[in-house]
Amino acid sequence: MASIERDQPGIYWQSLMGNNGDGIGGNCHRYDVVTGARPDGQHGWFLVDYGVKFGAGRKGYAAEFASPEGLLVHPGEGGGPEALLLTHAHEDHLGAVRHLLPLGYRCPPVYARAFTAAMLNKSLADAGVEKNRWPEIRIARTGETVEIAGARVSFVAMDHMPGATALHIASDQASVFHTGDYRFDATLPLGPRADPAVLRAIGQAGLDMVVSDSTAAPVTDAPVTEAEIAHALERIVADNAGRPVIAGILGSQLDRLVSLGRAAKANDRALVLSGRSLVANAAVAQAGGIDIEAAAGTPLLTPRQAAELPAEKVLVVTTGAFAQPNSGLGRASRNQPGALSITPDTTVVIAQREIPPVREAQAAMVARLEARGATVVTAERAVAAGYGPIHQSGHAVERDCRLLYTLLRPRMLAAPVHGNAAQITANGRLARSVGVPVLALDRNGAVVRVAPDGARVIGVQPPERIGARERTDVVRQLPKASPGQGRDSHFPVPVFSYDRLDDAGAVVLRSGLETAQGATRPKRPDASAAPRVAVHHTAAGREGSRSR
Amino acid sequence: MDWNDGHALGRALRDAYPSGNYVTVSDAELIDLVTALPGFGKTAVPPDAATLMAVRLAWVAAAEGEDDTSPYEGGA
Ligand SMILES: [Zn+2]
Repeated sequence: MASIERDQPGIYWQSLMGNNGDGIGGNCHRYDVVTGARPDGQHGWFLVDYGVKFGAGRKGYAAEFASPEGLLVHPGEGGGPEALLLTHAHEDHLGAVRHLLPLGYRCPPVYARAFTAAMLNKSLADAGVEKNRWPEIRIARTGETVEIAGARVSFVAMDHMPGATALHIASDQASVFHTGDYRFDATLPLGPRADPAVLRAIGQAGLDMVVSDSTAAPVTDAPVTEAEIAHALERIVADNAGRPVIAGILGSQLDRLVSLGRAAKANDRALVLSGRSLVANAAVAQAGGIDIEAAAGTPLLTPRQAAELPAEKVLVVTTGAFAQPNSGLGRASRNQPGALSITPDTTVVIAQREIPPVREAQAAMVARLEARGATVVTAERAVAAGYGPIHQSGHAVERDCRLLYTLLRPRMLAAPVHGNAAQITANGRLARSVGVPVLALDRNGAVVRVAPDGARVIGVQPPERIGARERTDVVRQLPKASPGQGRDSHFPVPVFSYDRLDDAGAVVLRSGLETAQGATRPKRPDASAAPRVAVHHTAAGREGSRSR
Repeated sequence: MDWNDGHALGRALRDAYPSGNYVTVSDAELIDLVTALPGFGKTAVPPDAATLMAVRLAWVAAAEGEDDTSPYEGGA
């Protein structure tokens, strides 16, 4: 594959993954900065986000992500990007790092807001990655400008989830605004809000290109604020006085957790958290200074702490809005041991609209909850019952996209990303409607040079992907508790084999990329008769176990 | 046990402090709770922030069970 020269002054942008022909996810962008002002050479580069693609189980892959081959280097080697900048903590923006490290690559220093950084470390800990291989983290504050690879990079707060940030990347030659995932909602309770005055000032100072989130661009409805959602939730809880109420959300929806906390407080109920991903995210946020308790105005209690309270004086917030089998709602619907109790007077509120890949699973879970006597209020039913919306997409709808372009007024180009063909087309149409030229890419790999004389595609370098297949035969063996130190209920960590894929997700090389991931054991404890399966080392010959 | 035995510390915290609040415990309180555990090495050096976070999350995991993050979370 011929390489594309990035040797003329300017800023170069390349979507390595995220403009996929086969669906959203795996976001990863490369920025090169060529300038004459750099003392140690004129060319620096960095990556923005390194996520996994949605669609667990698609073609058997638990995750797909942009191939690190030719992009990252191994420990001890020179080259590679100077930094990895993370826009926020969703898996489709940082979830690949846990795979890159076991594959033997070195992750460059990570720049991120504190919550995002803590969530990256959480993902590495959950994956069992040895701590001495975790990347160096450099915490970036909102509004801060940092010199990275020859560019001045400013971290600009956006409304999406705690820690969500856009990146304003400027050199002496060009400037780009990379939105990350965003919407505009001044009523989101946690963290700094997107400030239209800041965005307008960036536009007025002169901006060349915007790379922007397209996910909800086709949605023409007026956006619903989190304050309106909190009000609807408060009314639902009020109308269920005297009954146990359990609310299901996603683990990362901490702003929604605050809304539910406010609904609990307004109805004189204690707020109880259950479900590992929700509890873990809330714990990371609290420890990092994002004060959910203060925002909700009520303490966050564990189920054990609320055990003595009558069920009708509690609002339990748990996981399972997408019907994950091992979530709080999923387990309750199956009456699994230790699950939340569902009785005929229980009301379950699912404060999250279903999305196509989970539709069947969610309908089945709702049916199981109803079969056990619960009254279930879904996002759709809340609207039909007159409460109003209890969910809003975290992404910019039509009005938000138009506002973004109006504030930023990019002179040269808008490049819609993070969407399927329809979403990218819709976002492009909105940019054009306010006079912004558009580059609508329906695949990855195009290299765009932004320079004083314009922005244009200088070539296409189709990137490859890696598909991570979870091995069914073994799990990672984690150290056991010392004798007498707790019940032995440590969680197995999945082991992956890796296939090389093309940009459309077709297999190029199967299982050529297996690597040492520490000691393993057969997946089922009762399968001890099965032969112990060793993890293969990579076909490329990097030898030696990295287990410690 | 020392600060690097995250999983073991998580289980030990769960069992020693069943009514402890692993969501809101402060860093300082968490250090006190860990160092008071029977079997915790008294010569251990203070943990860095990432180590302390790993212990906190191990307590959450021990108390709450398997990870239940949806693979579609970012598309919500
Ligand atoms: Zn996101």
